[in-house]
Amino acid sequence: MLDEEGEISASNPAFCRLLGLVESSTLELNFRDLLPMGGRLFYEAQFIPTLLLRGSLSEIAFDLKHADGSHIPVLINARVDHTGPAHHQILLAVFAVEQRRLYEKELLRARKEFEQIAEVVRRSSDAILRLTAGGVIQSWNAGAQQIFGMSPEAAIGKPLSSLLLTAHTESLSSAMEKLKEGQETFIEAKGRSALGNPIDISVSMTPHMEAPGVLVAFSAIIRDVTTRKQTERALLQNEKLASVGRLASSIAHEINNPLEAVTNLLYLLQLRVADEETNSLVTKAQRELDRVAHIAAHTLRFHKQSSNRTQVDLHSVAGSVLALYQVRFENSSIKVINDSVNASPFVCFEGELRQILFNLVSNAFDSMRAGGRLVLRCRDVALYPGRRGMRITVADTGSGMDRDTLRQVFEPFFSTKGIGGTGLGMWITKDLVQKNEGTIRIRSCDRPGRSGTIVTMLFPNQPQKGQPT
Amino acid sequence: MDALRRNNVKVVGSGEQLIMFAHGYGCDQNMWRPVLPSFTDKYTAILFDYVGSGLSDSSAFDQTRYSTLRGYAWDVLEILAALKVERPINFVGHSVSSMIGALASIKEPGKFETLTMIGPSPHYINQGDYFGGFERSDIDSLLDSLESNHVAWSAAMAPVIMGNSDRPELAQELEASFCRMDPFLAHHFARVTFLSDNRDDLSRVDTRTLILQCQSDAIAGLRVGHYVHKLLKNSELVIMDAKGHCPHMSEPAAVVREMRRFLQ
Repeated sequence: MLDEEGEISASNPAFCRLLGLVESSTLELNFRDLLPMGGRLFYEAQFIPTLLLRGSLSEIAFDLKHADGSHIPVLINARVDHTGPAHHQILLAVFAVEQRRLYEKELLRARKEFEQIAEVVRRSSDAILRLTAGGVIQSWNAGAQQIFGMSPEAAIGKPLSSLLLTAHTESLSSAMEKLKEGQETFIEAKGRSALGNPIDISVSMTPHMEAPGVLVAFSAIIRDVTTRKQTERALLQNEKLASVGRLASSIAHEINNPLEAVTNLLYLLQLRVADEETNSLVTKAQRELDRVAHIAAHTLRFHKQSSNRTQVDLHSVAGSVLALYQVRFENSSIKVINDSVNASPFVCFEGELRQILFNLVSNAFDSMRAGGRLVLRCRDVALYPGRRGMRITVADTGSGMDRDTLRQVFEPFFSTKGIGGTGLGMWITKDLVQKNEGTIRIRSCDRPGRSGTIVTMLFPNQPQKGQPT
Repeated sequence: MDALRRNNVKVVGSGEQLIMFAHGYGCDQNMWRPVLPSFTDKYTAILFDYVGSGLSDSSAFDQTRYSTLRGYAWDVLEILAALKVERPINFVGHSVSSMIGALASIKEPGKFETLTMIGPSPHYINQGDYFGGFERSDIDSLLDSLESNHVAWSAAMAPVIMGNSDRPELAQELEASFCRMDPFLAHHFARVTFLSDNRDDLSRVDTRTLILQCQSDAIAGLRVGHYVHKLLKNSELVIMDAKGHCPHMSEPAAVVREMRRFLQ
């Protein structure tokens, strides 16, 4: 029994035994002194005000301090008694509940663990579903919502097959047969995304058996593998291109020897020619042969990967990249200006710079099927006081890009060229620019009459190996 | 979000002056029952429940907003805005609400005529020279206590039947719902309450303040009361001969007397 201030005014022997106290000594105690600090906070802030308002409380858990310093878990039933002469009294019935508290602790721990696991499932970016033995969706997590764009309300109760395109119904039903035999199964199929686009998904299903042969439910983990599939396709394409490149370079290499022989033979032939007309034919043949030699040499250089930065002459690099397109430029009546004769020697990974320029020139060409003007300009600039650099600009008067295209232009797999493009050109270009510590910026306009694209890249000057910085 | 519904705002009394009662951690607006009738003749009283307490709308809970006492203080200001009060109010806050009132008065001093703080503490944890009364581990053990008592407080979360004077048996059911709290949000509110540190805010309060400090209060001790008084430039400290943390419930007459004197 406590008075209105919480002082213990009476207690029975059992209470004293519980706490290991001498009976008379409890009379000098305030109940809150029996509580450890945390319990005291709870007692003052929540227990007492609530008790005073409600009049009674039952089964409230506390720990009481035993005389030997240990803590005794108890449950307390409390009632406010207004019948006495004082303001009011508080009557407490205290039960020791060691075993029960241990059990509750275990339950709480298990529940917390379960909640954590449930949270993992809820937030997973993979779709994790619970399904009945018949394949009806029972739960729908955030990942599922994201992949299929359906709310839980819309999805729960639908069959799993409704997520797949009809072409896959059969492989799904054979997978479900395997589940019934207790086997985990895995299928790859196509589904529909939130936007209605077909997406590649992998579905792995796990049966939950109750007894041998009794399937009670199963779970499915569905992953959107569209990007992975795209990557696989692009890698394949890239590998094809790379082997074509290797082939071209080995052909160029093999051609070099006979080419040299023919060059020498033509030279000898010219010495023996007397009449003007034949001589001019030989000269023409020599000029064309020079072009073949030039192309062969550049094909070789293109493929050669340099692992060190070297000093390059931008004018000649730009010239050789443009040369690869020369005939096509002429056929499409595109006027080309190589304005880089004044650029200082520039230290960079030459192969990568070639690839960057080749990608940009090739895009420019593709946008000017009806003719136009292409400018490739290299200029020394000051990036900021004390740091010199190089600005390389590729500008065309082609069809230009709209805002949406421009926004996605550096994204992998984004292509406007349909089946012919991998959607990797600009992505790789940006990567190469960044690898050379440069920046790339694109301005573009698709308004008829004023359309065109300007790509500007800025590279800081690199100290050449062996030179002081 | 309608602040009046979110915070279960009740307006009682018809006086010209305004008084707002803000409950502390662990209970709801019902804790003002013992003192409320003494003010409703001269004042219009505004009562409310913090989100997660009493009959507030728990769905309005937003972890980030309420991760500091400021979120709760902005709720106080939103209630005043929703009620379109035209004159400064007298704010009465118990325990953690003292600090919530202080934060609200710093943000919009023009809305506050006076603050009354019952058992305030700007920081519960001892730190260097500062004596808050508790160690960090004590707060953790409080949170454990709350967890062990989840069930007891959830049981009271059952639907509430509002009091009806024609049917007194219903009053008892109403009584059984006093101080109900959403167990999860109670845990959150306890953490924010007992881990907050608003010591630096005290000196920014300009509003005239009454500090009611009990002689013996296990939650906010005498030293804390003196500390608050020292830092609040415009404050009066009254040490009441009472024990416990809720003098407005255990000694309502004394609290009413001091408040009337201060508010005159």
